[in-house]
Amino acid sequence: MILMLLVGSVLQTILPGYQFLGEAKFPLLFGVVLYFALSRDTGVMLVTALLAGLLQDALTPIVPLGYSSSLFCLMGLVVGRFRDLVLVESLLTASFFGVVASAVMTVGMYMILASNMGMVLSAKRLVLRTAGTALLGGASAPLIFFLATRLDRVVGNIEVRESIDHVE
Amino acid sequence: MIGIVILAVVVFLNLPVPVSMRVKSGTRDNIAPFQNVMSLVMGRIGGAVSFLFVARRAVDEKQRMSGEIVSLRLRLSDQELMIGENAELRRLLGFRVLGERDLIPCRVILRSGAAGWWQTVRLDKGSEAGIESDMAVISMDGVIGQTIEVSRFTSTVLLITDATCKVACRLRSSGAFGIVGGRGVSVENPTMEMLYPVRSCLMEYISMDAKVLEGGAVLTSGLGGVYPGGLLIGHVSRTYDDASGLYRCADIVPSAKLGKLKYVFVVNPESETQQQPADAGSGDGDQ
Repeated sequence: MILMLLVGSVLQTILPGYQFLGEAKFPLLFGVVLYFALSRDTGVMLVTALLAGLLQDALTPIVPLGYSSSLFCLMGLVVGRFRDLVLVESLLTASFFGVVASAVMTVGMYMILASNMGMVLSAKRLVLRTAGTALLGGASAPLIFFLATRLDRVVGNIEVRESIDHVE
Repeated sequence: MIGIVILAVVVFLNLPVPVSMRVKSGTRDNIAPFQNVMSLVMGRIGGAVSFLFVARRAVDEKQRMSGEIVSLRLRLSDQELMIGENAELRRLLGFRVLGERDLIPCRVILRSGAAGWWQTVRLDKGSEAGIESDMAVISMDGVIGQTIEVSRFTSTVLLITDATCKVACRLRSSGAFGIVGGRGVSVENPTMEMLYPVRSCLMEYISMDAKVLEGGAVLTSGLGGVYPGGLLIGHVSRTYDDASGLYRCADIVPSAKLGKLKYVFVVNPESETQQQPADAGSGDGDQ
């Protein structure tokens, strides 16, 4: 978890925002939170969300600590409700949650920043940024899920059960 | 577990500002080495890839720049002569001599932080190099912004294109004062006009009597305490009356290439050397 968050934070700050997507950046830290929300229990997910949010706020100028953490925890709890209802291994699942959750997270973050920090964006720019983050979230979440699953298997967090003739 | 995490979130949300800033600074300083390496690697890869495609253009540009260097050297030697004469005249008249601005060279290691809500860049030097918050930052082409958050080894610069950045300025041609503020767009791109009007900066509160020339230069006025006077901000692209009709506004195109920042300079506040004034009767005076 720590390694994923560190790599995610470095890459998220280095990768540029895209003007055509409303200056949106790849939501890599949030993608890690989504993975833990869908594949682990609530306690581990909340710790991940707390640390990911603190990292994101620490590496974002002006934003006080705790804003992203609270939002990540809330989104993690909501997404975690679907843990038993979806196929976590499916990349389509990852992409779907990446799109929807990133869009909701962007709108939520804007509302917090607008009410507490006086941030003002026109409706067009907010829509463009939300769509941009959703697109980047949908594109990055499958890759994050794939790499995270591989890493979990390597370190033994996930048991790999082998079957003969597909009978376990 | 949920209760513990909620408690932790509440604690972090209510941390005193100095403590919160220390935590943020510490995190940035610890991650900065990795960001530096990644930034260097990506810069090298980008440079190698672009060189493969534009090798011929690189050779032509090198020849052009060699000629430009020769002419700049000639101009520099002329200006050194003028600086010497200026200093001597000031000494004779008893003026205070202003020292040269101390520039701290820095490299841009990333843009916009982790979330990208503000137009910022991060530099590879911090308080260890003498940088403090609220210092002006310039590039070879003009003003780019001011430092806002400084840790030991990194600094965050708020760009002039950010909506929260305000710079006291004046028009070079008429001397009229105004305030330049950003609009939250990093780079002017005509293609983006399809989606929303793209204007980088806006100069407001220009007197209705002032003559505003399109293409005219906009300089920092030195008022406001952050930016020294006389630094180039950009040029006027369009002028119009404010909706209230009380003053004029102008769209400003920043002269600095904010989308391609690599090396910038943090301006240390000017140092002043006081000299004894000349005798009271030596010059024309109103005594």
